[in-house]
Amino acid sequence: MAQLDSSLQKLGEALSQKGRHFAPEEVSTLIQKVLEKLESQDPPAPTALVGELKDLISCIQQARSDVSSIKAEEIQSIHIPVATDELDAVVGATAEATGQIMDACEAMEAIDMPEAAKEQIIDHVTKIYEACSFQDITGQRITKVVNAIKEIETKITKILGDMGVTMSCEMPEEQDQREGDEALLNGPSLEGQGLGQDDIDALLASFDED
Amino acid sequence: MAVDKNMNILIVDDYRTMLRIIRNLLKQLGFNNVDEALDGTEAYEKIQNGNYGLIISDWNMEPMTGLELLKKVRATDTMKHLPFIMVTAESKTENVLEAKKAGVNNYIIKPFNAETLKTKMTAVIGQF
Repeated sequence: MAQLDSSLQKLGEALSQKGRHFAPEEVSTLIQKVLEKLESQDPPAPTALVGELKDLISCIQQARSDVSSIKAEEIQSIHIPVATDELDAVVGATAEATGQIMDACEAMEAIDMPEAAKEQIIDHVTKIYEACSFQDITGQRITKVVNAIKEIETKITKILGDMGVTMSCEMPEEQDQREGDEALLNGPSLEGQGLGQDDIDALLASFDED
Repeated sequence: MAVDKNMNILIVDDYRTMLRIIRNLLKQLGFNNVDEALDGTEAYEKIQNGNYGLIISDWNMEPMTGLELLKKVRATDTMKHLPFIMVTAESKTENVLEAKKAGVNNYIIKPFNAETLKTKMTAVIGQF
């Protein structure tokens, strides 16, 4: 019993050191040492206590194993960059489309026409200009989403660090595990990553030549 | 006193689309001398070197926000009386109060229409 008291006291002292951060592995090791002391002492330690400590070690190890198995490094290296790239593409595409709409409006305003018709055109064109401000609002909302994603990334990195999970420095290769028709569903490609219309026409034409 | 539609107006926004929209709306209102800046820093430099009758500025920009620009303008003797309209998506009460405290002349919430722009401009620079 004296040995148990001493072991528990050492555990308590170790855990209560101010400012000291304990990785789950360290906690697990400390508990394991206490367990070994308990199992070796005479008379035997209460089985309930031994059982609880074993469960605690098992729980910590399972949690670490679960976290490792979700390949958390992919969050930083693949998923978040994909998300932010796609959102940037949305902003770019809406800006381009809005520019084209406004080009057309300005061209309409410049057409030489009777005054009555011109007034009507300007009236409608003004409404289009007003509606085009959606691009500014969507851009700001997307920026908020990107900032939220980055905040989530920071917190996940911290949690994983606290769990003692180290991020690999190597970029893991993205492995698409989809099969069949599902594997063909990828949505729009980012700039420079998919075939352009001319490339597709050339590819289709190449089949006709065979 | 009648408003001089030849006055120079400076519009400030980090979204080029919005600059274009405001420019076109101002053109429809008869104001063709419109200059642009993409953020508060660029705007302040232009104001120092230019001769503007009105500033229309967004709030959320970097490195200098519209509010910071407003405060800097109001703190500079040669420009502290410049009419300044904030055009922004920032719609909380505290935003409006801060802008008012900083000396904004009027405040327009995005998205806005041409009529609102005209009304707020009239309230600041007079009937046109």
